[in-house]
Amino acid sequence: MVKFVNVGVSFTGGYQALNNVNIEIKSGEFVYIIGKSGAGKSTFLRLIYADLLPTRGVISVEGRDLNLMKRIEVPFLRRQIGVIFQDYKLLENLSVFDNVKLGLDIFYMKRTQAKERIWPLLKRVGMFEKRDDIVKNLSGGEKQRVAVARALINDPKIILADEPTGNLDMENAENIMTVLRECIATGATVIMATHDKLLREKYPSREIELEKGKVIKDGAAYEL
Amino acid sequence: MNSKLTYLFMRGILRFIIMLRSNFLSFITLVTIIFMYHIFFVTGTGTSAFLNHLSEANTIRVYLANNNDIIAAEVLSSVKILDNVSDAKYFSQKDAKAYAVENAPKSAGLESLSEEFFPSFIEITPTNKEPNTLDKIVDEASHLSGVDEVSYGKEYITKYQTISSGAWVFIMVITILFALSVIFVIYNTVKLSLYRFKEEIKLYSLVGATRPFILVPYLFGALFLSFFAYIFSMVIFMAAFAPFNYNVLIPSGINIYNMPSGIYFIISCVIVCIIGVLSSAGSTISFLKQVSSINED
Repeated sequence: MVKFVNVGVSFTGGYQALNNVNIEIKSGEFVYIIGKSGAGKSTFLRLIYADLLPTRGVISVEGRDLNLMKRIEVPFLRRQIGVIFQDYKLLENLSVFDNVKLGLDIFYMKRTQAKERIWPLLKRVGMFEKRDDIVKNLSGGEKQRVAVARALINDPKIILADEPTGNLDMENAENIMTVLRECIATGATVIMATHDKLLREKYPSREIELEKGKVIKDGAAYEL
Repeated sequence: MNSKLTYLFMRGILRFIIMLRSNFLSFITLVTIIFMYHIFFVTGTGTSAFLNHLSEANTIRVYLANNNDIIAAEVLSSVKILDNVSDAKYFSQKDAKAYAVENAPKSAGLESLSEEFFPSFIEITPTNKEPNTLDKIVDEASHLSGVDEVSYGKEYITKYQTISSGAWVFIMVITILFALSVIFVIYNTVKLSLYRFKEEIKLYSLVGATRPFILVPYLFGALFLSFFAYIFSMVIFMAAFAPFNYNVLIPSGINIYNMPSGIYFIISCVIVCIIGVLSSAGSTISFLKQVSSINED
């Protein structure tokens, strides 16, 4: 599903965001990427959705070698990946419905058709009643649920979550975790960058710990 | 495929409306540029056509050494048998005065002048107006006995032709400058619109939008922008030109400018639209290359 072989990422000035990373994540896994700020968690996720190319090493996602992938193929990879950010990355002046619809627009889907896909999903994340509300009027927890809905709208095979609960209280964080864990049941792989220890203790799963761009621990929570 | 194109077309209309609403000044600038181009084009082509008309040598004049009708008749018969001469006609001093008065009716006092001031001449109509033919007739006629001077106003014709060519160079230069202006305005209008939708474009890119999905609505938007700017400029030009030409220019004796043909409007409209679409493509592609990732500010 996702495989990193000797992957390294260096930025201008020689800063090494990732160094010799070797990881394999299988379908249906729920994986936490943990580590301090600047450890390379976000860089790790960006590599998977081809927002960044590695300086060294090989990354394969869904059997495709990202180094060999042409620019024109990147959108088709991204359609299989849902991404959730700590700061939501929503369009504040659009409604909840329209924000989620962004993921369907690329398939030239009409509004009436889109409703059939979006409404059940909004019900699932508990945002159906607020589907016509403008996003800027929502709370942080609600915004994150919209972001989750947008990430899930195309039934992605991989869900990348970059600190999705970072701005949320415990109740909202647990709601998001519940939705993400439900995705595992449908066969999706969830890779979540976080340093929320409480959540990890409550929902134990495989943890990959990064420090200064290197993997220092990889294993199930109970093994660590 | 059709539904995809319809979808992108509708998005293009939305982009056009937003461009118009958020940057109406650009639209007005485009209308002004195209309107100005119509004026320069009409002025340039009208002047060129007028000078071309002036530079047409229809006849060659043979001025006689003295005003003797017998010698004139001999010269006339010699002239008529020259190569490339279609017709030749003798104008006595009396005829020459009548000819001058007829061709310059507003010249005050011409009629009161004595016939002595009007030299007799023979007017030759050549078979064609080629410079070589005219020069050959002039050369042969000037060697005939009793001929003083032969001329078809070559020096004036050369000057008019030079000015006429200059008018065309002027039109070409103006065309390039105005095309560059249209490119500049549309390029920047589209770029401003792209920055307005920067976050949306980044998000579309994140969820897997292809480049045509982002690009094509802007191409349609620029097409509408160019087309409607052209139509507006054409309507304003037509509304302004006809009254100005008929009420101001023609009464002032300047009857050389005509409304351009429909072909001119069609071709120039197509060119403006193509320039608009290409500028938009350039603007969008350069924006997509520069735009940072969703994960960067």
